[in-house]
Amino acid sequence: MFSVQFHLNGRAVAVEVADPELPLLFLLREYLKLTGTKYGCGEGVCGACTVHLDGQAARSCQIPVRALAGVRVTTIEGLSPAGEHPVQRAWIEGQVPQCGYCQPGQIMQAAALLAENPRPTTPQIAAAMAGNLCRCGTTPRILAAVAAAAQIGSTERHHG
Amino acid sequence: MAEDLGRGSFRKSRRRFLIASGVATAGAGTGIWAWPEATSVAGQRINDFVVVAEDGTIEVLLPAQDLGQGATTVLPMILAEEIGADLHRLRIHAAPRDASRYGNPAFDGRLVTADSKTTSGYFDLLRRAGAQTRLALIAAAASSRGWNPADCRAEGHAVRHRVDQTSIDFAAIAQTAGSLRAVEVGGGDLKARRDYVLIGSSPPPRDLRAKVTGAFAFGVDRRSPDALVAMVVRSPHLLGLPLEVDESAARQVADVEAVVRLEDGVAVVARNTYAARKGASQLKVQWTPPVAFDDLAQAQALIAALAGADVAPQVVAQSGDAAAAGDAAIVVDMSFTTPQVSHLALEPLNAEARARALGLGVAIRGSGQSSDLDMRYAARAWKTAPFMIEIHTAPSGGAFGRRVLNDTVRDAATIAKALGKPVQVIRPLADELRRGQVRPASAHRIAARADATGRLLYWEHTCASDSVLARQLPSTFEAKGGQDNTATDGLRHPYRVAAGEILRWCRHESPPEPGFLRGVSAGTTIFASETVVDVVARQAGRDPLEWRLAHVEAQAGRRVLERVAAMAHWGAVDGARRGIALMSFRGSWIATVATLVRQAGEARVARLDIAADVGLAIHPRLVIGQIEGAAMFGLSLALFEHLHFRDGAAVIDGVASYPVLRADRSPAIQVELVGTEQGERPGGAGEIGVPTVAPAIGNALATFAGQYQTHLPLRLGIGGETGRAAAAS
Repeated sequence: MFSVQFHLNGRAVAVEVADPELPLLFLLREYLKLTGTKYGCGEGVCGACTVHLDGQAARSCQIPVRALAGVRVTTIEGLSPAGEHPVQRAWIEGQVPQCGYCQPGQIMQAAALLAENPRPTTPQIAAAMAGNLCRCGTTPRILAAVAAAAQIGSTERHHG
Repeated sequence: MAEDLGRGSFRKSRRRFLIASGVATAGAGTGIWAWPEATSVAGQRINDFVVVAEDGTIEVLLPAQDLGQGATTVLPMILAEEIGADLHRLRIHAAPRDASRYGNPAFDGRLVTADSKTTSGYFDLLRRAGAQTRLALIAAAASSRGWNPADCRAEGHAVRHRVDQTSIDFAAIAQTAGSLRAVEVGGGDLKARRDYVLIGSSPPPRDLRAKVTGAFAFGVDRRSPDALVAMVVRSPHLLGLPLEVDESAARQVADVEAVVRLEDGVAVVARNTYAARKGASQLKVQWTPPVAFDDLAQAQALIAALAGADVAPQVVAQSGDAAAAGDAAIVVDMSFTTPQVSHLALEPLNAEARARALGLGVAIRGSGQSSDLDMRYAARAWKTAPFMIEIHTAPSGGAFGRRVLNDTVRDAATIAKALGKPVQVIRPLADELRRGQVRPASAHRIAARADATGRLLYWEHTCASDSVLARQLPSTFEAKGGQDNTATDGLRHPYRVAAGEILRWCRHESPPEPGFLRGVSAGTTIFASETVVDVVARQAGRDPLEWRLAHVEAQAGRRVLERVAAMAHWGAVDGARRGIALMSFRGSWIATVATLVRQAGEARVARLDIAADVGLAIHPRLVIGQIEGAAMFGLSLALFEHLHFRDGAAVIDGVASYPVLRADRSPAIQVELVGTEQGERPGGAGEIGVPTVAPAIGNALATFAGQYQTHLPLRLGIGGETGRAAAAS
């Protein structure tokens, strides 16, 4: 058995798996029962499985468990206590989701962008979100919501 | 059909009833299986759609599936409006799989969520069910207070007396057992359009919060704890079948439980998804040799089919005659081809199968669009009767028509039966691209004639494609007399033709498996027809907008054209190039203007403006979202998507081999609804955004290049591949 310790949504966890190549995606979904991280292409192409590793957006289907030692992993379930992250609030205000399948990954991607660049330009937003597919075509609402979330974040930094 | 179903829907009420979800029999859940549990809906049953619970909650039995289109929000809004209920005090349950009560009247009475027909199809049934509920609540309140029912109205989840201004909450009315009696409702009992308060507003869609917190579970998320996972390996080649299988390496993968041979593939069954995937990669299979099939041969065969090479063309519609057109000053004769394209719904196709009734039947749970068709797959695979099948449909992570024919149900039932264990089948996206369903490739030939002023005299449109109905649902195809509306949708254009017109379809069977894709054939027929009318207008020296306005009689058609022209600044001299397309489809009208700018030797789609008349918009923000989303899907099809085939196989190394629209290529988009204030009924909204995008872009591109493109996807390189008909400048 292969054992590894890391931080998941703010808590220390230790897991034992038979195969250290097991992708984080499946560890989250099938061992830890956190199904908010979605299984899309499984090839790192669609972005549905996006999580944060030490605050950076990453495709969890491409991250083997062996690479997790000491890493801070944040999933959609751990992004905010009650779905109140500025990005989530902007998503609700903008009525962004249709089917919703890509949205946890989109939200994690957007949250990582804004953590690194709190005031992105429109082209920076589009470039940062280009790796997250949405086949329902909510992309226009996604791009608008990321800009709105940046506004919410900036207002809160000034008044919060 | 609507009337028959309507009458059947209002049966006498019972105090309490149970629905074993998926079957209509009243029976308790036995607890033997992890699921399905029988769903118990307690309260006073008003009709097939409504039960009023003791606490006043309106329990709704919903016949449609959540595909992201908003059915779980919009259909309850129709009920709540008629009842006078508070939307937050409705609770939604899946309706039983009973087509006689819950089938969509607009869909031959079937349980299918597709074809932009959910809101329009259930509108009348739900209004009547709501009105019946309101009348029952008012009658009970009036009787308990000694009021005249005529002085009462229902609003805000209460019955209010107009004179003394007091009200009774639905909860107080429903507390008394047997207080509610359903009476027959007539047209006069329905709420008047001007009195709508909820319809036409845009409350937060149901499950909005769950969808942004990750709490919302789709089919693939709902695997039972005791179920195994299976992945099915199929030949990379179309029509390929397994000959020899060496499963030893696959069996050695940790957590792989079994390898099951299927007729057309080999399933690796494991305790988790990773092991199933790894096991599948370790299978060594010798397949039957490939068939000869590639893109070029396909296009040539379709062009030949247009000339009647396979079957005599089927006349879809005909009027007037060609001879009456006389000598035409303008003659346009153009051919078009479109490739196979795929849905690429992001949630992998999935289905879980579990034996029920001592193995005599099977229960299915998966992301789906049709419990009827899921049942059909399951009954065939399990070799049992329809009433032995239970279907539990989960929300879909993207559907776009693909889950109407969810063939993983067949795989799951076959494997679960072979193993005697519950199994969830998951089909990876790349496998679906290689061997899954496609919108069939098509070819078109349009011969149009007009006089020197551009007045359209004659129109002949022949298209050729495979038939989804003939291949997938042959009995339906036969019942429709060999017609397939999913191959001929969109052939009818909205323009006045002075002398004569003929529309034809030629069926050409082709190895890729055909499926229904958002917009079906309108995604190709409209590309051809809206390109040709643009050519006619330009050759007559007329503005394409003005030509369309002059040839469309319907008010709604003119309204969307005029609106979109204003939105897009049609005619502005600003260096941008604009193209327009118009369509009437699914009872709605839509006009799209694509605005293109030149950027580094290429044209770039800078924005899309869309005006649509969908009649009554129940939830305008969801309707606009549907049109916007479909337009993005249409843009992806117009510019990027082409499932290539070579040597009998899809040219797919992985999902990245199938390019689609991404955020960095998304243009600005604006969608406006017109005519919704006057609209009495909802039209279709789910698909209409798709078809007009490609011709609007193509028509704009022609103003750069001087020539019209005749193949999809379009090429943005200015001066790229061009059609035979030159565009007058």
